[in-house]
Amino acid sequence: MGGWLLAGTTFLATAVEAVEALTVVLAVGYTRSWRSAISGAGWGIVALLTIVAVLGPAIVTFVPLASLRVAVGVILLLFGLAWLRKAILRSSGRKALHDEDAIYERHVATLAGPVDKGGMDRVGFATSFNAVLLEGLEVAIIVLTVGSAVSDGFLWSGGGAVTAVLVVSGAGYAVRKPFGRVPENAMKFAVGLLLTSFGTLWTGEGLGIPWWHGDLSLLWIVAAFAVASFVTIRFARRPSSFLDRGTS
Amino acid sequence: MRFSKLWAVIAGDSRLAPIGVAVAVVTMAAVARVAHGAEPWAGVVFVAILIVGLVAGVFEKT
Repeated sequence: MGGWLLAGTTFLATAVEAVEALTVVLAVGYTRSWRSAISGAGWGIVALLTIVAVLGPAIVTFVPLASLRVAVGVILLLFGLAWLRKAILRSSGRKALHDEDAIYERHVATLAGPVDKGGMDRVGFATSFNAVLLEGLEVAIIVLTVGSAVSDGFLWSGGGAVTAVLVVSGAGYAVRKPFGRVPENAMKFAVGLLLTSFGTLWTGEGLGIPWWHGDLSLLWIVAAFAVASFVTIRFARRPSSFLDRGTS
Repeated sequence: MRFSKLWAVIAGDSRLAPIGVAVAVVTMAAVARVAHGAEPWAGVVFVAILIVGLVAGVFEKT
C-alpha cells in the first residue's frame, strides 16, 4: 500500500482537526494569555504523542495481523462513514458548514473576563489543553489504526500527522487569526472517502475476502464510494427527494 | 421502509453505528464463508452494503 497515500490521509485528517483546535487556542491567546494558550496546546500535543508512542508498538506486538486488520478496518469504517456522511450533508446544504469565525467569536465571548495577560491562566491553559487533546484524540486513533495495519505504517501515518501539525501551527503563527477560508468540508470529504475505503479493504482482507489484484482494489473502492457520494449529494440537494419518504 | 431504521442496521454516524458496522461485518464474514473465501464478488457485495448504509444515513433525520 502506498505510504504516501497513508501519509496524505493522516495529513488531511490532522489538518482538519488542527484547524479546529487552533481556533480555540487563538481565542485563549487573545482573551486570556498567550503563555497559557501555547503551554496548554503544547502539553496537549505531548499527551497525544505519548498515547500513540505507547499504544502503537503494543498493538502491533500483541495483536495478530488478521484480527488487527478487522479491528482496524471496523474503526476506520466507523470514522470514515461518519466523516463522509457529514461532508455529504454539508455539501448538499442539509447541514450548516463549519464556520471557524463564528466558533472563534463564541469562544472569545465565553472566555472574556479579567485576567493577567502575561501570566499563566488556569482557565486558558485547561481550555487550550482540552481543545488540542479532544480534537487530537480522533486523529491519534486514526494514526494508530492506519499505522498498525501495514509494515512501516507508523512512519507514514505519524509523518503525515506531524507535518500537518507543523503546517497548521506555522500558518496559525503567521496569520494569527482563525482559518475561515480553509475548505474544511472538502478536506473532510476526502478524509472520509479515504478512511472508508481503507476500512473496507482491510476489513475485507481480515475476513478473507480476496480483492481483485490485491491492494489495487483500493482504486475502485474509492471510485465507488466517490460516485455514490456525489450522486447522493445531487439527490439530497433536491427539496424533497423520493429517498426522504418515511423519514422523520 | 424507513431509511433511518435501515441505517441503524447498517452503518453511520448515529448511536447505533457500531452495531450497524458490526452487522455489516458479520454479514460479510458469513458471505465470505459461503463463498469459501475465494470469490472476488464478496468484496463488491461488502462495498454495496456500506454504500446503501451511507446513502440511508444521509437521509436519516433530514
